[in-house]
Amino acid sequence: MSDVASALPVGAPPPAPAAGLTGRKMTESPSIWRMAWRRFCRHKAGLIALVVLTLEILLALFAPVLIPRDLAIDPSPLNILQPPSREHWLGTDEVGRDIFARLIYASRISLSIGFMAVAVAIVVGTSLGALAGYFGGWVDTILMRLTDAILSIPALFFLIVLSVTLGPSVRTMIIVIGLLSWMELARIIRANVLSLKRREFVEAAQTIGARSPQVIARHILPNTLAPVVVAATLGVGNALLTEASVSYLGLGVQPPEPSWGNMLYNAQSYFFNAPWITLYPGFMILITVLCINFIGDGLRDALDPRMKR
Amino acid sequence: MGHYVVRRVLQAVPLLFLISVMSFMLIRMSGDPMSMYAQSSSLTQADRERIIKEHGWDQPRIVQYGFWLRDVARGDLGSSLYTYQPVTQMILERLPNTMILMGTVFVLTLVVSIPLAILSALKQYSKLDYIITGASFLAFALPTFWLGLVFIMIFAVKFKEWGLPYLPAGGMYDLVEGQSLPGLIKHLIMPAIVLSIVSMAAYVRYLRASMIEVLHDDYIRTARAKGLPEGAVTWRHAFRNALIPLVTLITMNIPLLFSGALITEQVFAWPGMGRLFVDHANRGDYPVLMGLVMTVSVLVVVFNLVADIAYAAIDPRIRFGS
Repeated sequence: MSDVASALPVGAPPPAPAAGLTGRKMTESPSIWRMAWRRFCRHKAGLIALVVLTLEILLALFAPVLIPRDLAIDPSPLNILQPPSREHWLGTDEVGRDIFARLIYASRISLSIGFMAVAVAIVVGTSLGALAGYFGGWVDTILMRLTDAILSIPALFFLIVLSVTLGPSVRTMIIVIGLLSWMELARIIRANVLSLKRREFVEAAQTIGARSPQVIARHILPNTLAPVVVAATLGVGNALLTEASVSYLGLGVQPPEPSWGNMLYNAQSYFFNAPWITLYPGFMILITVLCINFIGDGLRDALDPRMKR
Repeated sequence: MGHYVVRRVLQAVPLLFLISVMSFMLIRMSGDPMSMYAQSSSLTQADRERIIKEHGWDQPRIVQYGFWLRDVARGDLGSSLYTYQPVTQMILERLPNTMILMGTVFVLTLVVSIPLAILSALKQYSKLDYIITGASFLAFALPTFWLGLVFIMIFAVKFKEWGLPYLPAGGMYDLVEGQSLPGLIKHLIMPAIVLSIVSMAAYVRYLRASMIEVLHDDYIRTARAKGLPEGAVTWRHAFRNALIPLVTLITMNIPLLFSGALITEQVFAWPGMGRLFVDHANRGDYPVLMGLVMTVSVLVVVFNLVADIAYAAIDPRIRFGS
């Protein structure tokens, strides 16, 4: 997530419409979300991406109804390395499993890792960012130095060590990727909290005796929602790419369970007679991450109108 | 300026200390070095205990960290628990290879992405702008290792099959020719281009946004109003200011570049530090892993330091700010 636009809201005051909402639940005012939705619809690429991703998610959800799981998991010695055909739309792999079936079942795993890892990152990043920004002082110093330290170690090195420690599995991937992606969110939240905590409505809440957790959760965090939603969306794309890399190294999701990354683990041996093994999982990752990034871009335009490019 | 440099250097020391404590605890947790003796039946229980004692593995982790730190202070990173080679020597063998790859990628990225970004910003909403922006979006979503696999499939496997001049699929030198510069370049082309394509995406998007923002600033309007030719406005005023955030961008991207290099080295069998790390990650060979993580982190911190100082030299606002 090194892209400028997602880094820009740091330190900026929250979007104007949300500020009017303080002290109430966001859901009480649907018009803001409707306005945001209308703005999102103007972003054509984002809208198309949303449709494609929704289809992909539906396909993943209903996979067990549509495609027998055996096709994706059980080796079938008679069908090894079949090129794409009517029975096997995208061909078969080195032990005769149907690539199309594997891609769909892999999407269940890869997408859940992407979304769940970001959920972990949101929880950690929001808590630490809010604590650092709200309390300041040594809490802030410690948490921010910790953030700097984690950001100074290239993520993949950390991921590999953690994955070996916890034993490679889907759950490990979720925890580990989540624990290594909260830093940017924490920085965004911290910067926003810093600028918000001096505002009148926060002082008012403190004056009438609201306790710190209440002030943070009810008055400050709802106002930092827009940049968090954008960063989190882009984070899903990053998490997907990370999962794919680690699983490609053989340290992520373990076979026979398919993931888009581990389907490429052995691909190198079959370049010559079965290029489809390499091509399709990569296309899947590319299309999905592309969709997520377009949606993130659209959300940025929709939620933060001042940030128009 | 001197004060600023000193302050930044002093800040780097506790940061590196924190990194080393964190990495040590994590890496020591990742595997039991004794597991490699599990199979050897010739070892008696007494032998095992002696090995444990010799390495200090019976001590608490924090004491073990103390031992490690003491040795590092003496310039000794320890030896591999498997090959018994000194870690310093192992790393020095690999470091230049990783630097060759990363340095090439870094230069290639800047040389290609700066002109593309400026062009795209100057011709905002033109067809060219859409192509450049679209391509950078696409590259941003590409898994590095997969792009590498596809490149190998096309330029090494298929080109050979079609009788075209093809590139080597992996390694750093030709085994028959031995170490030669043309051989190195031939082996470097694919990994460098693959990693550059992925890293360019962020640069193009970031710099384009920065240039567009600068072009809307008041002093650009002033420059135009006083009758400066458009070329001077673009190059003397806009371009130079648009490049200031480049420093931040570079610092943010160096850790990403190391991660990218790790996976690229894996795909192209490039004998760098990332490959060494992956090879030893599964074995609990913590002296090697620690040595690598700390080398990489020190490089990241030093690059950041250099960038920050360069930044302060370009932009006085940083120096005098908090």
